[in-house]
Amino acid sequence: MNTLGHIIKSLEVFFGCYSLLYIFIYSALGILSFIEIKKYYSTANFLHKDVIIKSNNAIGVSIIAPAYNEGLTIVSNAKSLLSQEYPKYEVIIINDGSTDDTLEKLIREFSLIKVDFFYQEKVKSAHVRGHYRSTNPIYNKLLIVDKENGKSKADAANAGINSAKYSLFVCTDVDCILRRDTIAMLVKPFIESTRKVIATGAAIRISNSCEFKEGMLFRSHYPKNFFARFQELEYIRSFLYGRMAWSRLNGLLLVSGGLGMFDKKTVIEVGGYKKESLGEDMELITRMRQYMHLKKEKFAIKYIPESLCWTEGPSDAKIFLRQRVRWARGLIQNLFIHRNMIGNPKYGITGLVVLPYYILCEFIVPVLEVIGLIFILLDIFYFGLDYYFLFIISVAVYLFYTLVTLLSVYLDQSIKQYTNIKDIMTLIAMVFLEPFLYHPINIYASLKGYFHFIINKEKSWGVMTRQGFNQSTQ
Amino acid sequence: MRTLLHYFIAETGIKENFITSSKLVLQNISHPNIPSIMNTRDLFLFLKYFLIPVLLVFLVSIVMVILFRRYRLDRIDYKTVQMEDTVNGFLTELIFSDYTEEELKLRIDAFKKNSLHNNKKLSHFVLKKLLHIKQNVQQMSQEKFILIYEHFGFNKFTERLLADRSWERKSLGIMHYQILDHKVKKELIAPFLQSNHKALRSNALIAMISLSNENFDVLDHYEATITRAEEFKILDLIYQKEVSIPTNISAWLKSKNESIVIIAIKLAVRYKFKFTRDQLNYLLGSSNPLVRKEIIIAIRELKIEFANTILITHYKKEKNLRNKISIVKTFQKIGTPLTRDYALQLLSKENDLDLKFEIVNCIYQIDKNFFSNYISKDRIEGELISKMLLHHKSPYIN
Repeated sequence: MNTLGHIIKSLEVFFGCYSLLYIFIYSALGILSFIEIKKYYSTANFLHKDVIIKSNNAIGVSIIAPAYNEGLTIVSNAKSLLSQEYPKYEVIIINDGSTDDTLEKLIREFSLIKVDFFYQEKVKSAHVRGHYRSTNPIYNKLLIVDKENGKSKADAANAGINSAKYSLFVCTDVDCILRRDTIAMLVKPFIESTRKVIATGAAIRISNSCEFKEGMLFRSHYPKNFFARFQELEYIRSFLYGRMAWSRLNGLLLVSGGLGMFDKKTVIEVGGYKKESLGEDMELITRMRQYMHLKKEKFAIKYIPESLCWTEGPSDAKIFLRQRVRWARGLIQNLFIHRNMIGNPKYGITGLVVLPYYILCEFIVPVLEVIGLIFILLDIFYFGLDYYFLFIISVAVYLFYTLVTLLSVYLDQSIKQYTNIKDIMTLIAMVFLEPFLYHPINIYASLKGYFHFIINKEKSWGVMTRQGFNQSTQ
Repeated sequence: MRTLLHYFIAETGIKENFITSSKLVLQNISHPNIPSIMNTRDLFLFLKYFLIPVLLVFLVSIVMVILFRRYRLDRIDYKTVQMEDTVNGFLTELIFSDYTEEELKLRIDAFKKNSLHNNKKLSHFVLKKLLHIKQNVQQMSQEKFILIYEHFGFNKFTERLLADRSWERKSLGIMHYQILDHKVKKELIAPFLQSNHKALRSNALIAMISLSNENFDVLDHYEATITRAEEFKILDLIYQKEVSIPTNISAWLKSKNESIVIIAIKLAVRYKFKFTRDQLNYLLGSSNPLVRKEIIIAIRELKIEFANTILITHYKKEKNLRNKISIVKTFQKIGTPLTRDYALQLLSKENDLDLKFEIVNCIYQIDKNFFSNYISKDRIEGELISKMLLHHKSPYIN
């Protein structure tokens, strides 16, 4: 056998072992996730959210929502954020140097005036031009921060953190629709846990086909748009299968930028969001974990399996690819920045388990898939390929993949998520189509993201074309 | 592996000659340097005759379960809507009418026979509704609720829940007694205070407090630390009960259990309790910063003006920054010219910006004209104070 033959045979062994490890990890995550979700629902009423909502001793929470050129929907978005059922909160919208009429619309709708706000730059952000408050007492929870464009959501969020008055803050996207009890639900782990909780997150869903009434979700439907459909499916798998398992292990490395609650003091101590980062949400959590490990202080990051936030999914291939390229680039960037933590026992579970997992089961997968395809081609041309065997092994891989996704759907649908059973049938159909239609596009985007990281391409706020929300006519 | 696989094939009736007669020519993929645990043929057979069929069975089952579960949820919702009016109407009639005990029993028997048909789910639905009404309707006859509850036979169900092995079902049983305010059942709950299960122990504690007399005696000798979540629940419960101030509050303030002390201070605020100098000094001297923080907040909320000097003395000893800020915030509410002068000393001494920010507000709140004539020796410091002052003066920020 020549050298190429030896390489191919060795790689076959590697791929075999890797597949076994992958199957083992995902099976373990499935079991852990199931245990954690069961535990969550069995203790859900231990501290009922209504007790927190009624309490005089509620912990204050600031909602931070950066906005860039959101003129089309900003007013309804702000009103929706102001409809939270919680006794002690404020809404901070950061106008990140929008070039459209975002600020003007806010000023007009909420009767805003510029105020002499004492602003301390505890974490770095671009120059803040001013703060606005409403003269109408109905909107006394609203604070608008007007700043120069910092070319990133991270920079805008930092300005919000600097302006926040409460000890906890929720970071969200301004276009997100939050469930009315979102703050109460996210604050619960901070109250219940005996460990210091530094962040909490919850499941996010796609809003594209949902119906909204007075800024709140009225009827939930499975999206009709191609990319939104698969993104919803991907969210279900990611939040219920992956993150709940990591929450169980206290190994969460990602609390979505779309919805997460953070301990402000810890965030400030680690320096806030990093402007340079493309996956600022994951990077912040990694740094917070690093900080807590170095401080040798016990901490927890918790996830809630309930859907608390609805966000607009990408409507076309261009926006979708841009989003995925950014995410992939963020992942590789984060692993590169924190490479000293990988395998380092000083960083506990983060260094020994979580980061190696991200390398083995997240980062490397698209690369291996392409290498696998190349070797199949080499096999065809040089060694001959047993097509029937290839077919059998592909079917096994496909079925395992769909099983993981289907189990996530099973966990998700334990309560009524959609108004119609038809939506569930479509969702199930998408489970079986995803590996053929969606997965290859994702792989392409990931590889493109890695490539952009290597060539160090400049980044900026992405332009998201807003469709607006479907208003219920009932 | 080979042996196992062949055993599996033999057991499952797959003919070995079928496999061996396969036209496939499978190469062995084992590397010369790596010990072989399975060759390609074994892998092929494993996938084809075991893994793929198993995965297929799983997939089909899960799809069926998802769809069936949804269908069942829709059915339950449909039935619930149908039952809701009937059950609500019946229970409202029972609770708000003047039926005698005998009449009540007769009506319940008739309802059980005609509407419930020994259906457990429906009967649990009735119990849920009964508890819901009890929670939401105030000043109704307690005896009547208990009578209805017992004649439906729900007492047996609750007892079964308490005897169950699952902590969740035990907690559900405890909750029934708590909602019904079934005081005589306290002794059935008391043993759970010693449970090793945190959530069960906590639920028992809340129920015991709820079912105890208005002095909440159960807290007197409670030794375990009351968690923050329990604190929320206990305060919610006591506020809901709208009882007069517990007489043992002074004893709780001296409890060795610091979590009880914190609850006692919060209750003191709720009931506008009159703290003595000795009590304030004692509590401010606590080694636990959370106790100190709570009493500082209490002084602010209750506007205890005589505490000015006590707080000034304490400030000098306080090491915790959050507590220092809290003291200055309290000065903003109860401060006198003496406090203003002390705050002025702090303004030049303290370097933390958050603290300085509150000190400026403190001076401004005590004396609105003070900064009109104030000139700082340091220009940068002066500018900083001016910015802070503008913030505090803005009517739309505060």
